[in-house]
Amino acid sequence: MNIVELENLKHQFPDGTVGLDGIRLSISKGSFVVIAGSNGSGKTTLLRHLNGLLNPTAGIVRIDGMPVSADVRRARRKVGLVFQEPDSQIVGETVASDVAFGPQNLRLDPAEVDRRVSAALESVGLKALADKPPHLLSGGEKRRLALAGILAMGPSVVAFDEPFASLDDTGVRSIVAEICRLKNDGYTVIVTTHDLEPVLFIADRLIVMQAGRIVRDGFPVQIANEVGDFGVRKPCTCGWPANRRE
Amino acid sequence: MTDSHSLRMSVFAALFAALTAMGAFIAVPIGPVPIVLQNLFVMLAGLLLGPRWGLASVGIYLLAGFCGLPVFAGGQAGIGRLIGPTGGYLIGYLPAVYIIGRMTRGSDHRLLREAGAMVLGTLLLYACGVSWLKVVTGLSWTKALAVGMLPFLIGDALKIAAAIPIARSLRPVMQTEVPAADPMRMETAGRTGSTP
Amino acid sequence: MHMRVAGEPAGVIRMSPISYRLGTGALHALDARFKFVILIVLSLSVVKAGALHLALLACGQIALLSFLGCSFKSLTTELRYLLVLLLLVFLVRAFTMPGEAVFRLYWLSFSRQGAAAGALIAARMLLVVLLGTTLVITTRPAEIKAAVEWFLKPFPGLPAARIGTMFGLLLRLIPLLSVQFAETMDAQRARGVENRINPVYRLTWLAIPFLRRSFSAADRLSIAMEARCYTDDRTGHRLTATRRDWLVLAVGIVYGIFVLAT
Repeated sequence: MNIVELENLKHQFPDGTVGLDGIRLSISKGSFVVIAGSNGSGKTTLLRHLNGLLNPTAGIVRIDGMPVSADVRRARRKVGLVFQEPDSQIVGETVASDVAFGPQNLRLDPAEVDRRVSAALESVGLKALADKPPHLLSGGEKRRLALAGILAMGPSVVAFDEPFASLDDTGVRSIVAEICRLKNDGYTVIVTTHDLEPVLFIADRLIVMQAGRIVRDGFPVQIANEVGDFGVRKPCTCGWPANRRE
Repeated sequence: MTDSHSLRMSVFAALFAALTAMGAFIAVPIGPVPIVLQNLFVMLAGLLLGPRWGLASVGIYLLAGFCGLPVFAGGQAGIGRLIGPTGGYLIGYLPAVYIIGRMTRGSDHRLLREAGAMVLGTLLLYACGVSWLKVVTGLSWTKALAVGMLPFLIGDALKIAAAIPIARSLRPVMQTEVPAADPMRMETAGRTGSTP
Repeated sequence: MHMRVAGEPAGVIRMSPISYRLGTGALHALDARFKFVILIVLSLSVVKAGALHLALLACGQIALLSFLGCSFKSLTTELRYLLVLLLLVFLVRAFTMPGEAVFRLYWLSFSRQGAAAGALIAARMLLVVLLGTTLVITTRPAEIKAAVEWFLKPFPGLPAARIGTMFGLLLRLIPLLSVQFAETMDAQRARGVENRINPVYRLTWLAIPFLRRSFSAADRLSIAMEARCYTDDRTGHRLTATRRDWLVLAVGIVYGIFVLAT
């Protein structure tokens, strides 16, 4: 079953530049999809269409069978976006109040909000930091906090925009661990990146974008050799025998 | 659903409230005396946000401080800061930001009009600040003016002169509506592994 | 004032060390709305109170604050600017008010009536500040936010929920912006901005990149809030009043009225 369906999606910015140029894409439920491409290839624009932050110039976006434009709130609840810079996603003045922000917007009752906050913090391992102000967290912790804020809203799809940007090795590892766990818990995970290294062997599908179009779509280890042509660094591990993943 | 324009303006008003709060702490070492940036940010709030949201931004700052949130300088939490000897200057930000926003509203941003608005705003600020200082301390008018206004005038003139080019340069950024702005350019922040 | 706390990034401005402290005492448990009312009643009564009640209230306050873990020393360092200002108020009053001279300094005379009036004003202001400090130390920002929203709700035309949201953003943005400001200042210094003498130039070229950056942070923040379904009609913080809250409130008000009446 497809949870995300894009039909001939086009996006043109007010200044005339074309962001997306006829994207057709279906993502099946529970899969882990990586979208790679250089800066300006349209990855972020694509993610923003998934929960109605942008309106298509043409085409249609369906989440779980229903067009986004029919009910934007529903789309935003179903698709959680983890933005590239966690600092500009964190709204609360403490860790716990930030996680509560989403559920409060959904007008859940206070007891349910509390329950979701503690469950989400527990799941990303930030329970102990609940009362801390967010600026005291490390880069990886901030990203996990952003994720907790999304999980508390109960999405089916979690989309990460450049989750590995400006993180140290520990931070990257902790995000990869979160992604694996989300996948095991049945979430559909979408990750945009131009660094394939951390996700190459765990992703189900790799989509390469260039200038607003999908130029490659396939099994990661099979097409990773070709990404160099599209402004994405070819992973070092690619030269290894392709049968490494069995 | 809340419309995105008013949400965006609320975030910007909160941003200027935060700048105003910070402005009491950050001093730029220029000339013999470092100048404090608080009133520069208040003037910019008027110039860039307009009268309504400018007033909202200063109002939020004062109300938050008044209610005891930690936004006032020097640990003087809450109402005490407002009724203290220098409280008049804080209250004076309200008419100042309003008049600056009101006089420079619209598309026509002439140099003289902007400078005039800020001079007027600054005068209103001192009118509130110095009178309250006089009431609390019992100083005479001349002395209150000498202590509470004269030493700051040169710094204020510099800030007014700087506020004009700053507002010119930031107005286009401020007026570009999101989300259409351009998410493409937003992708250019910190990266990993960019070497081919 | 630019104190650093372990683990805090460089450049974070700590607005004030007098801020909320975790605790489980009676004052922490008191409903924030009730604390506000009591604070206002006591502040008003302080403005009218005579020397006796001021002394009583001051003793109560100091005992309370030290009980809450606020040492006398940290209070005085934190309030030093206010204390200097209040001293100034006292001296100006004492030397300018006509009355029975205690001693003379050149042509100035230190009058007894002036000293009494000055001391009274200074003490009142200090007490109001201390009352506010007690509220700040014992109340979570989220509770303050919720109480303010509650008080503003009956006023038509005031968007209480939005104001609460902006309070939260304000507290969130101060540390974020102060780090960005410190970074911008360093970047300008690295490029030799100190060699420029024109202060307007320096101010302009510091403020423009800093504000540009903070504006784009604000833009992204508003997009992220939208992505998280922001609406003004949202679940608020729970405030529940118990019988004890009412009792404390009654005691506070009765004492306030008593002070005002005597």
